[in-house]
Amino acid sequence: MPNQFLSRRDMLFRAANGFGGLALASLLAEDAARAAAATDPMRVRAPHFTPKAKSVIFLFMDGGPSHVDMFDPKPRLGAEDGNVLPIQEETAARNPEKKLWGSPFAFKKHGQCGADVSELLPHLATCVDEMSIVRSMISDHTEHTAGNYFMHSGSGIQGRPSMGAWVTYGLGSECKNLPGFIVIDTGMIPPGGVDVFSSGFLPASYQGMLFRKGKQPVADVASREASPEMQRAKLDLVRELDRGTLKRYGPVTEIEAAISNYELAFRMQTEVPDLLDFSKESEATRKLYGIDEQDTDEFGRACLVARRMVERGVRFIELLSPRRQGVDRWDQHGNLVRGLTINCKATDKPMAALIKDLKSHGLLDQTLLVWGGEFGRTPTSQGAKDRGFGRDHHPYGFTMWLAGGGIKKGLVYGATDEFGYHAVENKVHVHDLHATILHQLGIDHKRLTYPFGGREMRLTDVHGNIVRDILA
Amino acid sequence: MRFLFVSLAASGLLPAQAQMEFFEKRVRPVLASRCYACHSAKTLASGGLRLDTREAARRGGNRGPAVVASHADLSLLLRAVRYTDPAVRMPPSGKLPDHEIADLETWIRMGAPDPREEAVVAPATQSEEAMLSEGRKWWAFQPYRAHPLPRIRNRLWASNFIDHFLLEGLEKKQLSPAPRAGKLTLIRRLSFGLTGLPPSTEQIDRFLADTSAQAYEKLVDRLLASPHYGERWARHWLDLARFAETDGHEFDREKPNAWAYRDYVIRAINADLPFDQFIREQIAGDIIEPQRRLAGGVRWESITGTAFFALGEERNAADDLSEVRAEKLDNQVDTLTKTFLGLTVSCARCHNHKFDPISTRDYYALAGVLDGKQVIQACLDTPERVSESARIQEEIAARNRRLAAIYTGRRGQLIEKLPAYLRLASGWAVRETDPSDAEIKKAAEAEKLEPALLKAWIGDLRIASREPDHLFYPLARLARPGEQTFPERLTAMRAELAEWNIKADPGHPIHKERNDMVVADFARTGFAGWRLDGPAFAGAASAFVSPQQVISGHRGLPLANSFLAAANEGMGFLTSKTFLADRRFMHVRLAGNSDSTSGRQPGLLRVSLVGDGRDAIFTPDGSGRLQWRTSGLGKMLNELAFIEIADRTRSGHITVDRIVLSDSREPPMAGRFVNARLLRMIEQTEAASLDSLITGYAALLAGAAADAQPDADSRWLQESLLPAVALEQAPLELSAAEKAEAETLARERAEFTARLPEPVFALASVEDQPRNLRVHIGGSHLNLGEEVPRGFLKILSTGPDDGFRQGSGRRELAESIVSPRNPLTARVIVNRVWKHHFGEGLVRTPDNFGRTGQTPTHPELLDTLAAWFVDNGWSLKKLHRLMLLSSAYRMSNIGDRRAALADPDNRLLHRIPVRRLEGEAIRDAILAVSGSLDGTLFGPSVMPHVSEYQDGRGKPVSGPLDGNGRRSIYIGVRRNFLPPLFVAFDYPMTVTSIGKRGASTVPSQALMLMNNEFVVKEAAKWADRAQAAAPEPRARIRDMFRSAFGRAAEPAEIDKSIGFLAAQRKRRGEAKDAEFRAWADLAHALFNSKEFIFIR
Repeated sequence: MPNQFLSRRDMLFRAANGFGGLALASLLAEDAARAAAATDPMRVRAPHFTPKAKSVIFLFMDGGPSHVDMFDPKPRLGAEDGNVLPIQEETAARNPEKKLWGSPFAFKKHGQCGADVSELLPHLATCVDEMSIVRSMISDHTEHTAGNYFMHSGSGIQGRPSMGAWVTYGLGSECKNLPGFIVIDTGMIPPGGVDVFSSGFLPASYQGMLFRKGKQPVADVASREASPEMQRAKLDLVRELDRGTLKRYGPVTEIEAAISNYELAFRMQTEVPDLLDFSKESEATRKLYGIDEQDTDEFGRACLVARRMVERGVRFIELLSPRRQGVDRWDQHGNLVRGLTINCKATDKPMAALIKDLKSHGLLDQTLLVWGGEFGRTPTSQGAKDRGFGRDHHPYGFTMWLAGGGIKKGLVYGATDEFGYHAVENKVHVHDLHATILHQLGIDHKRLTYPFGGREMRLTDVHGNIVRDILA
Repeated sequence: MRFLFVSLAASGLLPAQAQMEFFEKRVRPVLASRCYACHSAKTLASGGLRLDTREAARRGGNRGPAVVASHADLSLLLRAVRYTDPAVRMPPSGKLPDHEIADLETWIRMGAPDPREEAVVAPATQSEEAMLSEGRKWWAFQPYRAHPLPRIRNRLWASNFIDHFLLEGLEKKQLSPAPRAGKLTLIRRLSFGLTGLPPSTEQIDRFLADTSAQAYEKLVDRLLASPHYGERWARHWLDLARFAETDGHEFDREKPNAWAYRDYVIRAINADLPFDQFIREQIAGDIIEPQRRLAGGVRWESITGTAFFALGEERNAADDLSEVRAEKLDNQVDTLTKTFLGLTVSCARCHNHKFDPISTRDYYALAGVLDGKQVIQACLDTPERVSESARIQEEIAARNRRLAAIYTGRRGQLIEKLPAYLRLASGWAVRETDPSDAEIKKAAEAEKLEPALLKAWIGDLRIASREPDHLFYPLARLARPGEQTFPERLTAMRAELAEWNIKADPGHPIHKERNDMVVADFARTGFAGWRLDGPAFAGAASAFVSPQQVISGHRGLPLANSFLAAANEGMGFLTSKTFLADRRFMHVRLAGNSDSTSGRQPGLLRVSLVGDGRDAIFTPDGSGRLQWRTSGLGKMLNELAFIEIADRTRSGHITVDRIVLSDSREPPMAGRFVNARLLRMIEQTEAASLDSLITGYAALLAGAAADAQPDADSRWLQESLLPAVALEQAPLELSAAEKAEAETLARERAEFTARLPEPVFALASVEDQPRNLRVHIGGSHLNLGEEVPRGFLKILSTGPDDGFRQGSGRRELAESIVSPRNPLTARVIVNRVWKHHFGEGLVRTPDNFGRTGQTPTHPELLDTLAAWFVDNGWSLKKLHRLMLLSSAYRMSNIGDRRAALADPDNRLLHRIPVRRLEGEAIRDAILAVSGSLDGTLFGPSVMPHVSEYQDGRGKPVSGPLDGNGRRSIYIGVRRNFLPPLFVAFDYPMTVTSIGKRGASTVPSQALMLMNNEFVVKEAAKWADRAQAAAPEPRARIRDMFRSAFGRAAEPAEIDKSIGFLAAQRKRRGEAKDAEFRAWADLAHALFNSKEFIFIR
């Protein structure tokens, strides 16, 4: 390593203007790009072993979607509706009401695999043969903020790197014109704020970039110039000045990196609008995603953008659930029937479209989809019946699903007890999920480390077992 | 086959020999292959547990017996391998196959037959001593001393001892240092390095013009004397203190007066406060002697430093408060040890530190010290200021007493009309809805009554009907029409009152059930046990009520009243010690102005039960009536908490009578209910109707008002006369003389009130109940081990017994840290200062001097610097001077060619590295160059500008785009809403100490400088200013280059700029402002050039 550096430095020393001069000579010259890789934090790095997936799409359903109403039917809840929960509750459990509440939604078996999906998700139900539905998830936190940090960073406290940051740190990004970790925000930043997508102690290069809906999805990505020529002229002058700086300062890799960084930023200005320009998408595609339909337009667009990002090589894409009028995220403490129905309507069709569309583009195999919230909800009811029952936070057993990216197709994995309370079979802890996601990307979760605070830190801390049973 | 064997074994039917066989075949291999790696005599005996002998397995480790013969469920071994308990899952690498778990279970059920006889050696308690003696060999734990000057050849190059040590290293490799940098490079390097600002063109000219030998030295001294030096170096310190002004987490709650700590640091650095004192104050500034005052003497200074502990993240809405408390402590241990000692002690929270000689016991000894404090708002007023305030308060109080005497003398008027008020009011009060103001006015006028007073009586009687200990409870209840006749209902009421009266006896069984814990009874115990900050509560509980104050339900007994000191203007806090909140409900009897602050934010007027991650909040409703408020403790039950009574506003007050925790949802009555006179009146009333009861009340109150020397009952009755209306507002007719006197008194009172000094508060940590902590086994607060006496890290302790005994032990902790015998403290700070001047520290991991950190590049230099620093009174300014006057600091960034090849990492320091400015310095430089910089020092933070791209709960109201031109250090640090400009340029996480910021390259840096509104607008301001200063274009361009880069523009650059201006002008065509906009474009381009943000 030092030798490599030395020779490069020596080379630069002999070159009249160092690499910066080269970079300036031609905007997109391959030489410059290759040289930039030496200082480019996003340069593609070799995985530990052959990966199954290149990109991840994390469909994060903030608030805690109810597993017993969507993927994990529990007839006993209905049969003993109103009875007191007959098992010992966890000490940190939240719901003071202990009365069982049967799901008001009907379940049916779907696909070849015969997975149970409730009537809330008619479109997704057609995709079960592509999915592994994990019914035995466990998390460590009962409240949103800590739960969100935990689901993203493997730690319940603020300031640790988010999954997307770890992944781009580990692998870099194949996309030259966009950041490696992008969060598509359709209106709801989860409790915990943007720190949920923080790069923590990793370099700032790996923090999640927020894409918002609207004309200008990224802060400061729109030029304020009257015309592109005006900006180009300005940047050309900057380039001239920077050439002089390099002459005076000598070759400085940090300055060279900053110079090429301007070119990436410049390209982003056109790449981002292009990414959001659906004019070349077919009418059938728009229809598939439910674009221009009232319920699904928002999330449909987000899902389509996600597919377009995958095509461009963005490494980690996180979709936040859409903001719906009169619904507080997936956090149905009361009136669950209404809230869950609205949320499912908004996301069901677009998510099914995403799976099908990725498949038809031949991208599903290399794209790992992960769906879920920071926890599930209690099998017991909360609130008053006349205002509509809800359910409370519940991390002791809940459902997430994965698809594509080398995940087993048509599998229902793990189980909760008869009440949907405790995960009892093939338990999958959040750390295990993280280990598995990294594994599919070709990363050994025990080897992806970063030195901080006196030790080598990991996404999975000192935990994590790969859930091999769900791998294809 | 297998099944048969297992079931036979489980049934205990196997003969002894077969049992042993089972052990050998099925159990020993599992133990040996899965467990011995960590749990055997030859290995670590992790967690104190060995599984390699029978006795050791049965005795177990820190958590208790691993194997309990015949009891599978009691055997920790089984619980661990089953993976059912998240706190203990073994082996950690993954769950065993089910059949191996089944075998272990079978073995235990059959009585755990085990032939392994070897006697147990006591678990390695020796190992701690071994760990320490091994640990002392590490360089950082050895004492430092000044080393003799090394011999060097090029003695002319050396300006001071620093150069000798550096040159020695270079000469050994036959290398030379870089040549001396030019004057322009030096002034720019120095100016940003010491003040974080670019040198002004005047400063550059002055330095260039000074050709004396002392020119450079004078420049160093001038910059060290600049108040901006303190701002620059305070920001470095704030990185270590993980400074933020909000809590982060879900709601990003405000930390009031956190900015006072920032100002404290700036002042301390500017005043060159000896660094050891700076440390003492941050760790124990509330208790050290003597307490330091701010220059000028107006306020205390030392205690402000203790905010250091209070600046961390605070979880809110947590479900497990003990966990939050443990996490908070962990963050404090982590920040403290990294900042001052360069050690990662926090690693020892769950297990002995794997690399450094720090045990888990050490961790909990230290954490125990930090646990014995609480975070409050401390009043910084000095005794002089306090007595000045008290003197004015007394002037106000004297006038209030006289006014009260004038008004109470006129009470007869009120009693005269009382029956009429009560008759009307009791009629209205029993209705479903309140009457309209018009209805009240009409009714009052018909009876020649005051509408305002009538309205107040209605409100009072409404409340009375809900509170059995209210004077008018009988009246309010009996006024309700019912099926029974009035005499029947009166009889029932007498019985009810008698019942209440019996229950009021503290000996009544009901109180046992209630299980009351009286936390505050100000009438009985005053403020004993409470910490008092600020003048509002006037130093004592008092029964006196100002004639200005609205407070009904007052029974003439002393209470905590923030109105006392200075009417609404007073501000202050009463804080209890921390206690175990082991009752299900909390009841507070309080009154005062209403507080509309969101429950998520620290309120202006409220009583809070402050837990770790949750508060129970009690706010007055503004009605002026003392009322019970009740809150369930929920998640706070059985957790540690303390009570804060807060008045943090200049326009309101709060009054608190009693605070009781209880297992009953009902507010307490004990000992307070009975008013003997009221009971007697009710007993004796020959009441055939409500009217006669009202007459009885009138007589009762008239009697009390006439008492020359009122007893407690009588005072209660007197106070009850004026429901929710201040005496001064009651419609009383005064004589002309009284009126004149009252007016004079009121005027004087207002004058004194205006002269009251505003108290100053700061976020601070103060002594609480000292407590030893128990070891959290595996770092889990749910799994407690032995108790550890409070103390310091063994490896750094000097005496044989280093337990701390004075209070929490923070003062002793501070002394242990600043002791010159402590090998780390001086080395760590010297290295930090070095890092900022030379780009990298002598130890390149400035927060970690342990085994996982890097070793020093120049150990002897580091030690000599440390010794020199302590010998020179821990003066940071002297240390700066020493480093800055070295020849090393004055080197160019371009090194000697040979050295560059031989020392590519610059570990020998053959040159000064180029460095990118931090986000704050970039913003400050933009403001300085554009002419917008407001150099004002200190004060509350400017709200950060919050763009639409920042979102989430607790989103604050956005501040001005340009932060009012204030330096970046004064922009509010809101954990969840950090300014994007700063974040893009590697602003530190506000989570733990960061001694070394990153220097990443991300597109948002370029996007921001290219397109951000702030940058574009400042460019226009700069163009405007430059235009006014130099009308001639070439001269103007020269000016702009000098301001931006501190150097002359090269002729080619001027030509390029002229060409650019012409082209941009032309592109805008006929636009009126084409000329100006072209110049703004040039200014913007200069901001975007790398030379603007890279310093060499």
